Amino acid sequence: MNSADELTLRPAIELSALLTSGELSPVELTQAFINRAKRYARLNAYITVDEEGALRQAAKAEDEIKRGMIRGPIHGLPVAVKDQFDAKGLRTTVGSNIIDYIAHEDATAVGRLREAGAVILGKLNLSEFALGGNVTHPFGVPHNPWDETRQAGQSSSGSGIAVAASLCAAALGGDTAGSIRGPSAWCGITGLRPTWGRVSRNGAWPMAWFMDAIGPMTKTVADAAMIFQAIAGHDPKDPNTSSRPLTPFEPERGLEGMRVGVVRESIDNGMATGDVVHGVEEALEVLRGLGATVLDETLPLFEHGGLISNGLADSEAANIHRKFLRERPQDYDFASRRRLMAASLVPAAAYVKLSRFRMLMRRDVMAALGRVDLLVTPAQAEGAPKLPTSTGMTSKEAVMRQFFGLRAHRGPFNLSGVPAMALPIGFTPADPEGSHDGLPMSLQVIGRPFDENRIFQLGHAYQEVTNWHEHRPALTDS
Amino acid sequence: MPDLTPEQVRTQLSAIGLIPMDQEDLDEITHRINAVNEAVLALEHPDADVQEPLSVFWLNEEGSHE
Repeated sequence: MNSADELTLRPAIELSALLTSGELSPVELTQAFINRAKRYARLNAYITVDEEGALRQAAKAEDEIKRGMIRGPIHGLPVAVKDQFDAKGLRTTVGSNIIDYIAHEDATAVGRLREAGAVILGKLNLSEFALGGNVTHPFGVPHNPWDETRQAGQSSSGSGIAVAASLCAAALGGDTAGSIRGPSAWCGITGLRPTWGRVSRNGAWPMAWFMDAIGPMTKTVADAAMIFQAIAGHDPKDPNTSSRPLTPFEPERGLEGMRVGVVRESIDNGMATGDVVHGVEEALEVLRGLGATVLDETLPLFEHGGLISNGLADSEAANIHRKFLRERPQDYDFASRRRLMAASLVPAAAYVKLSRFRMLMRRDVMAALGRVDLLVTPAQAEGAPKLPTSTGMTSKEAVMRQFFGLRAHRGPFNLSGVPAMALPIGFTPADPEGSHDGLPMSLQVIGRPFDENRIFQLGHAYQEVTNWHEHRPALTDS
Repeated sequence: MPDLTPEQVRTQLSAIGLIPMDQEDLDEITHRINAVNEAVLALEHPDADVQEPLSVFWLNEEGSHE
């Protein structure tokens, strides 16, 4: 490993300081990330690596920085974006065999990264159409860098892999029903789903209109805050973005006076594995040590979060995909096709009932967030499982158990439109067969609408006194 | 509510122009829709009949109320 390669392992916030002070060349750093992306291509993190374009952007950034024209903290920083978002001049596929075009404009979030001086390295792999649950992948099965026989999470899988394996300094992901938080948890990184309406969805392929959110996936909380600041804010091209001003995140030491509520339904009665529950309890001890008051909280509808979230999101997705399902069903992964066809039959009465329950869930979440400053749950109920070869949906009961249960921990909060972040909190015990030294575990931190900075405050304080975010997967060159 | 049979599911899909690729497709689609129907039917809450099913949170207005 040479010195440039070692730099890729550092958090984006450290690279930012080196880049904007002129101590580190954007061109050198961009080349180092491209080299790693090529070296670890077997992980299938990227769909497109734009080597020529990225080096051109990096050279421009280098020239501007040398002349003192520093645009901000991410000037010259090499980042990558989920291939759900358009990036001008680059191919958009949405991880499918059906969509394939060269974008004429940037998605707003991508454009804001560029305006802030970031270098766009390329487009990252994802679950087909950002659905999650597909078994085959047109651009290669994404592999978890902590154990390559395991899943990286869905649907922003490439974003999770690329950040964890240091194939980019930071990434953008998209989260409808957990697609930032899930891969972030299983890849051992930090991932923020912002308040719905904080970040423009213009130029992003929809999965489900009223839950889609775009956010940062990064090594640290400070990195996430830095990227979030660059991409958030009102956009006339997305009328559902908020016009509230953004307040820059200012780190504070400790959590004195902060009230943190543990959603008991998320860890009691077997809702998470013993390892994960233990990991959460240890994280809570750290928070107490930092001055937070940890209280029990309750969300009575919690166990139904997966059903309500999937039922609504899939109904919207089925409508979005109706034309392709009719004309090109053979071009879908079999699991996606079955899921979307089934969702095409959800009765209107069921959709309306689920919409009412969504509001009841939100009412409960907002009431809890009125009693405490932040809620916490595990971000995933278990460490990353093995890569699937089938859907396993061989009975009605299997669907209820697997499909509704899969997103239970994240569903209540995307349903509620509140911000939520996955925060690495340690590792499961090592695999006795030696395939890994432990799989990442993660805490989900949930805040009030537009209160992302309080989530950052907790996460940053936690990372000031722990080092889970400094662990990197041991990748071999073979 | 009784489960839909695969043939009933095939008929419903056909009515909206969708055709399963094979029997495995049809069987799994049937399991999936039956699971959703049963689970949604079982959802209960004392306020379920009075809660309006809003799907958009009007963000700018929210700020002054929360």
